[in-house]
Amino acid sequence: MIYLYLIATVLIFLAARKLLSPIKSPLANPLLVSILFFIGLFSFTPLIYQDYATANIPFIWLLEPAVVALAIPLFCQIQQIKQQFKAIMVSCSFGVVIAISTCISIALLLTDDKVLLLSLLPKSVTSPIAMAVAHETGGLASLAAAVVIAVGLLGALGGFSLLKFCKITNPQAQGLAMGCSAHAIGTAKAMEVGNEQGAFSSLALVISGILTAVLAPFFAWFIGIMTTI
Amino acid sequence: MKKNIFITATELVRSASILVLFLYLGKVIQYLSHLPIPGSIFGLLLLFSALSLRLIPLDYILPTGSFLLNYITLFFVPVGVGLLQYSQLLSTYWVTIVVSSVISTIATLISVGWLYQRLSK
Repeated sequence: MIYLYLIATVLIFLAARKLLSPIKSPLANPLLVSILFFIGLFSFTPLIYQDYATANIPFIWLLEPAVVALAIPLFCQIQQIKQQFKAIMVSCSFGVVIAISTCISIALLLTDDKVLLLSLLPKSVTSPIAMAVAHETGGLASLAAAVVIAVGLLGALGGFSLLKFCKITNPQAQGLAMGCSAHAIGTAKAMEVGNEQGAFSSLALVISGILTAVLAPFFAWFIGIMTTI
Repeated sequence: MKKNIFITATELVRSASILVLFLYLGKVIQYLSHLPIPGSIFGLLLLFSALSLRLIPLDYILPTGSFLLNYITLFFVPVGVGLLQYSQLLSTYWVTIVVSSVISTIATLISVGWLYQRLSK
């Protein structure tokens, strides 16, 4: 009867969404609350996480066609994308370089563990890309996946509040920032905020994912030099 | 009434089939290209191209597509609970991970948003 866990995921998420909707705090996030609920459940009771993972595989499958379906909001914004193509490409390229270079340079101050640094490198892109990049450069795919999920949650929770605080109110700018920094989890949040935010976040997710895969060997080479000095 | 149900069912099957088809086309490209980019991203790009070139009308994919997009956040719940598997790794390196990821994520959010807001005016 482990498939009760599948139903439990749906029920807890829908309940969290319903109960938390009147609360305006970014921490009152149904995704975060549902995840914490299950993490608490498997940490503090004898219930077994592996059963939950097996039962919820259908949702992991559904993520793939859902990513393909992100073509829909993208297509609906095609006019705006064409108009702003240059600004989009410049902002996303800049974002990728900032995302990787700030993360690596700060981490270099704290550690000289090459495997850890290489696993942090792709932290801002969607987990399949991040895992592949970490694996190819010599990082740890599982550590990369864990960091990616944590970063995505962070962006989804605090991203929009931070952007508003910094007077970044243009919906397209908000979407690109979310997609570049918090990949698919950030994009899911952006879709809830608005169509334009969702579309531009999907776009940034794709562009920054591909650019990160392309630029990763260069940054990995840099990490190699810095850790051998 | 009966006909309506039949049409809805057909539309659902049609839209689901198209999405799955594009996903698998994307996976074929990934397999053939050996690039570290997932099949779903290629599928997204192919579907976007097909929509832009008017090869597929938007209505054909909307029934399943909008359903998936409405619940995409739900699908991330098991992904997040999966962090449990990595608790050992995360607790070993948590200081470096938290400090570098938090600062870098804030820097990325602000710089991308700010730059685009300036460039797009």
